[in-house]
Amino acid sequence: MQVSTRVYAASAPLPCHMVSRLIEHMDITFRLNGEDVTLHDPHPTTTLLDWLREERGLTGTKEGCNEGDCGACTVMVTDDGGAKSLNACILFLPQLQGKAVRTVEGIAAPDGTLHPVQQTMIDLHGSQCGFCTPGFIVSMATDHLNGSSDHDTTLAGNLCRCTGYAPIIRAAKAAESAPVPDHMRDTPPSSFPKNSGGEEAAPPAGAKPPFAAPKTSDALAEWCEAHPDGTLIAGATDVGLWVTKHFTDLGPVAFLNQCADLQQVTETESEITLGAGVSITRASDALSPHFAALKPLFDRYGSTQVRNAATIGGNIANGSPIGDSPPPLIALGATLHLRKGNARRILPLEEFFIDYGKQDRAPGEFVEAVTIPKQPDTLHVFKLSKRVDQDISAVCGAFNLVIENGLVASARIAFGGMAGTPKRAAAVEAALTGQLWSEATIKAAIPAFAEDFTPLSDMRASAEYRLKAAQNMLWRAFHEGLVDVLEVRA
Amino acid sequence: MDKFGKAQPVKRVEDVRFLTGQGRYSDDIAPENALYGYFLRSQVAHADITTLDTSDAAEMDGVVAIFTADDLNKAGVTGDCSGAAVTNRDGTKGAKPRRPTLAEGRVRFVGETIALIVATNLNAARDAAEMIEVDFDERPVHLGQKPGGTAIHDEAPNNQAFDWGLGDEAATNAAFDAAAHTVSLEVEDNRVIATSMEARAVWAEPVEGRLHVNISGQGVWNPKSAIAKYLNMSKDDVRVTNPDVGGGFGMKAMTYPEDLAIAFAARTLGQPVRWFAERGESMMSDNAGRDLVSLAEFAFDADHKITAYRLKTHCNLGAYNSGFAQFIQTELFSKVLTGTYDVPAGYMNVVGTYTNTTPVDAYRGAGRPEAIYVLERLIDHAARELGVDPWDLRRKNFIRPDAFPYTTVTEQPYDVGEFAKVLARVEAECDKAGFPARKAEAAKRGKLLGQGLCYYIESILGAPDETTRVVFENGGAKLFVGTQSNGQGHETVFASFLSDHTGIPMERIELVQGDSDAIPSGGGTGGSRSVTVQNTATLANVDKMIEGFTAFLAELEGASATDISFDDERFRIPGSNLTPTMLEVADLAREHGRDDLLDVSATIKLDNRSFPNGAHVAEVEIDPETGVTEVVRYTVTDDFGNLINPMLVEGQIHGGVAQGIGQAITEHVVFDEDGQLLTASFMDYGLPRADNMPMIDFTTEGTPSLYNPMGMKGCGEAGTVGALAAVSNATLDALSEVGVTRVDMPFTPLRVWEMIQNAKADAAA
Repeated sequence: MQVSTRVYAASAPLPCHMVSRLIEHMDITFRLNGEDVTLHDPHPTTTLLDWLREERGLTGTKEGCNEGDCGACTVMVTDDGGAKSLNACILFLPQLQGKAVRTVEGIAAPDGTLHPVQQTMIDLHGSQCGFCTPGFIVSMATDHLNGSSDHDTTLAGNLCRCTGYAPIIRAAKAAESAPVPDHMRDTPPSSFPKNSGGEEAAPPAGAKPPFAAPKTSDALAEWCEAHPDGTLIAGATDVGLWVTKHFTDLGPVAFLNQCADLQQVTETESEITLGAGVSITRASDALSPHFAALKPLFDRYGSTQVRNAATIGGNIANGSPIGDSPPPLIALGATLHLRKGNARRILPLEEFFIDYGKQDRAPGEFVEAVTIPKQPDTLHVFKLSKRVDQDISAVCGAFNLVIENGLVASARIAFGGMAGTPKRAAAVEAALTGQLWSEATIKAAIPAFAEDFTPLSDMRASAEYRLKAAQNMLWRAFHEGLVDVLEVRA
Repeated sequence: MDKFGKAQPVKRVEDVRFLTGQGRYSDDIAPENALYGYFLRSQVAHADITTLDTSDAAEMDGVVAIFTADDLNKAGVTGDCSGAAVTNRDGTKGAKPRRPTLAEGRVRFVGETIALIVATNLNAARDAAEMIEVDFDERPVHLGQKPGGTAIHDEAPNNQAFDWGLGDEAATNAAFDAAAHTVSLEVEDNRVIATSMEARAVWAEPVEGRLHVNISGQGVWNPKSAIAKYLNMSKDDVRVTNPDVGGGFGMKAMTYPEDLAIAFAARTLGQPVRWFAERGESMMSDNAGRDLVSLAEFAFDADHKITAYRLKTHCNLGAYNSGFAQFIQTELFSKVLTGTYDVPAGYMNVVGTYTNTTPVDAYRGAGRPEAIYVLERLIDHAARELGVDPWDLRRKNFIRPDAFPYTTVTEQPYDVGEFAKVLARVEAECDKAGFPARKAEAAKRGKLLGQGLCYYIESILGAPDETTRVVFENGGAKLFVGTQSNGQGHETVFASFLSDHTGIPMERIELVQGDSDAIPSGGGTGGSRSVTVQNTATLANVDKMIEGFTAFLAELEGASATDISFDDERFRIPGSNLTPTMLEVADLAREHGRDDLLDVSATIKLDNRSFPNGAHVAEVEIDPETGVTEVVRYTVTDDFGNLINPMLVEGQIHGGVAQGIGQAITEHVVFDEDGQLLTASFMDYGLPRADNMPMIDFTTEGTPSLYNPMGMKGCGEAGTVGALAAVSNATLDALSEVGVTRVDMPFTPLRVWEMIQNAKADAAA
């Protein structure tokens, strides 16, 4: 079970002589509320929340659920890509290397002047019991800094039980025009200690497991070959729960946040390549201008905090049948870049997913990037979940349909939630391709869904419901035409 | 100065603390050397425990102790935490089975505490819990709201906990026999999980022979008594404190097995022990709310005047008899049984049932939202059946203003009420006239728009007595209160009230709450009681302070006490230039050795509490294709009498309505057929989110209460009381267009979609 859900799992361990460049210590340096902090040999899976509360005595950041659902632990993290809100309960200390963290204790100015969102929360009575309030304040202050104004969306990851939200939304709006206080513009730490971010820490005298934070994909490749049983941690929105909820001992881990070449977004005339470590937020920013249907989809992927942490590579590589990025990427004809040592290979994304818990990845191999070919925007995506925000898909369907002269020139269709893997609807595609784009064609294609899919029944949906919903998504794509394809609020 | 204060929206003094991360909740202030408690909980809903072996677990690194029921027994701790019982219709008492702190050979719901592991760190405690060998021999489970099935407790064969009745059954039945029209409606009221953002938390610390227990709770005196009794300690040796509390909603009012077990562990080990519930265990073990089904009936005369109301309710108590559980759907429900209507005869019968689910107890409104929900669903239903306008039918049956004081069929002494006036106001505020146009606009978009009204009345409850103590020290005043803020803003409202009436600047007033050592007695928070009782006590206290200081000044200045006045800021003495403030007189008194004047207490007891009421109008928009139901417009006009702090009142209404909309639309508690809770995380339980909530239009139309000197009416629960029926009536109004005739909460997309499909199928058949 554990192996099957690991981000980058493999089977046979390699001889330990391949473990290279052991260093004695792993220091982690970050800036906390404006002050540099260096931790010597932290346990790699200590969460920022636990560290803040238990080691640092900063108890303003709250534990509301410990699984990234409620936002009470929200902190602001700034790096070269700017400031973003993250859930501290599923954020491991090594992920902070070289970044600046601001907690609720650091939102007011050093002289005690309240931040604009703090003042408007007072003025408009946005706090009652105060327990969710620190998380809201940090989310709101981050939005304020970034100039975000879609508060219903950006605050969907923060739960409140007392206020009914309206006063909080009003407070966020009221603060929009106030200038950003200078202290909020964090910069990463001035200097890194020598050993920080080294390739690997030795297993220390205590029980702490070894961990690595490679700075290049070359170093990562070497580490992966040396640790085929290791776990890679990028955003930790899934792996974090293994620790906080299942109390799993992860064994050797490598953090990808410093692996610069995995963070790249590269755009050419013909394609966009996302490094595996690119967050969902950045992926959405890069892809949505080209494919309009992706923005409303990604806006419903977890919450702001989760999208800021989760990576496109993690969402693909963990092989989940209900990850939301594979279906549209498959429909767009994306290709996956895999690497093992110095050997690289590229395969169509759909071929990566072999079976539930099984991907086409050799021991020691890892996902390096995904490339999406540019093309005219003919993509429809529908996500069906029990609620709009922060919910897991029962079915996610993506339809890339090129209609020329009234005929279906090409059809690439993929689904999540319909099989043990994200999967292309080959029979449906065949039934559509070359046919008139008409009701009769759709009707004729509907039975093909049963050839492509034998979905499961689980607590999210029954097999019958999933099949019907997938079929109806094709109808919906037909009825809505190719222009106005937005979210489905159910 | 009016007795009711300045009614100003004073900003909250606690906010800066909360907004800057300086709020201090239980787990934030646990003693540094505290050991960690972790509970092994039942994974099955009903079973005999055939094996419980902690020996391997106890040997693990970091484990300090593991306690089971045997250990409690060996220590002579044999108490339990079963609540009180109502009196049945036949004069016997309701079944009150033992509720063990740690399971005694049998478990009765998923999440029941079996063992307490105490370790030096949390991970060690969790690891040890996994090492405890426990085997279950499962028994059949009983679920639902009605009796039947295999007995869960010997004391309740057939699982019936109680059979309670109130009213004049014979007169009611006679009225039904003579009625020109009768209507009946069965209505379910779904179970909800309170989900305070701060889960339950407790730590206990032995201090110099005494035991200090810090609880995220709703008052300190009930747990103090419960813990002292449980541990066979003198009450003097137990101190209970409540720090900042991250929401309670009634759920944190009761003493839980975990509180007692942690207190026991700390005393036994002689070391502090802490526990903070994980979200999942909180959802499994926090007292749930609601969970009942009622058959309600009206009898009408030919003129559509109500002649009688009859009600039969079945309510689910869960697996045990929690603190106040038996009283919620009985006595508390009965307080507003007939709402705002002039009903000459009424009878209610309630049967309580034990089931293999989490215990059910108070949740915001406790009985009164349930009563109003049924009543206001029924009156809408009656209007539909009689072919009359539901607003008109209410108006016709309202208790008229000249009928007050009015005693209801359940003996409730309503003092005042201007129901038709409030209804007229809300009619304008909600733009009722514009509804048809809005409905037509929604129809163009393929949506069904419905409007629903609920006219509610609330009965303020909780302890009727309260004490205020004021101590002058350090150039200011300490204000000791017996209530307990759970986020309502007590620090502001009590301090500003004292400031209004004494002239002591707000910033010189320090509120002290939640410490059983500092305050001798108090009623905590619950039943929307706090501001009414506490401020009434404060008024009495202010009178005492003025009286004492006046006599002192008279003696000092050689004046007659009757000539000295106090104008809420300064004392005025005829013929003297001295116009001291209260703090200045306190300083003078101290200089003159009159310490007796510097520590003043007053206790009051209200004969009657108030009856807030008001109208909620909801508009919901439904997508008939998907069943998605959204509240798109929400208007409230309330009669809270005189307002003390309008801003805080509006906050309470917003939050209360949000919890009502949550119950009505998103919150769906699901147990499977084996009694497993399927909705034990925020992923699976639909707490309302920002985009589920409309902006609420709130106005007041106050008629002062005659039952307290401020003329105020409590507002803490009213929002929830009004919201359930308003949203449900609006939903039925929308769905009636497609042939739906019955709707039960929650209106999740699936449930609404099924209602629509069933109606279509019925129409086709």
